[in-house]
Amino acid sequence: MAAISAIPDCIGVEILVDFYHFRLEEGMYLGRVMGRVVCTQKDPQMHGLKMLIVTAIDDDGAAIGQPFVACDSTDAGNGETVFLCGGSEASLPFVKQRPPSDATILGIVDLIEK
Amino acid sequence: MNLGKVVRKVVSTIKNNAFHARPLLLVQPLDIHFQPSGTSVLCIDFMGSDLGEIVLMMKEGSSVQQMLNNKQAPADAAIVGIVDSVDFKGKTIFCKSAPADAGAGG
Repeated sequence: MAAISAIPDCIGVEILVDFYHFRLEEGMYLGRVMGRVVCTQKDPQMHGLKMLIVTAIDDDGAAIGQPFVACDSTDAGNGETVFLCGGSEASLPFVKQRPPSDATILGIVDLIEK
Repeated sequence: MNLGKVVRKVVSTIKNNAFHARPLLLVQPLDIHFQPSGTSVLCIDFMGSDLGEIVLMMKEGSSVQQMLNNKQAPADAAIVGIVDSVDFKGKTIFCKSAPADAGAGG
């Protein structure tokens, strides 16, 4: 949260922070799969990829912010807890393709221990 | 990536060379209930999307540069897909072939 409060107060930035408030902090994060999106017409590099609707979750599994769309590299299913990465690294996990992606599911979480 | 609705087409003649022959569209980001969320974003269109269509918008600079085949391209938002259907919590909440608010057409 320190990074967010350091940003000067102006309307445009406020909206940006609200939209991305969990992603401003760098690193991978946890999410939960809520649904899926189907596109026939899409970038050729995205052919054969599953696109899922994911909500970021906090330590206790409560949803944070708005759901968004992420590419899936793990064959995750509905309701599963997953971990994701953002940024330019999001197009790297795929073997034969480099899809344009800003969020990709990297793994399925089995257990979170307290 | 986020869902968005194409609200405007933007035409520009004098622009950076990286944008040459690429349509620019103003896209309104939508939340999962298809309500507007935040301010609209200017996106490069790679799909030939039309006004009013629900699209997948991607906001990541290096992926846009890769799609443009130009590592110096000053762009960070693109339309990467046209959405056919959306399933959320086990229900189909959007299907392109049966628009919910199409009105009484002939």
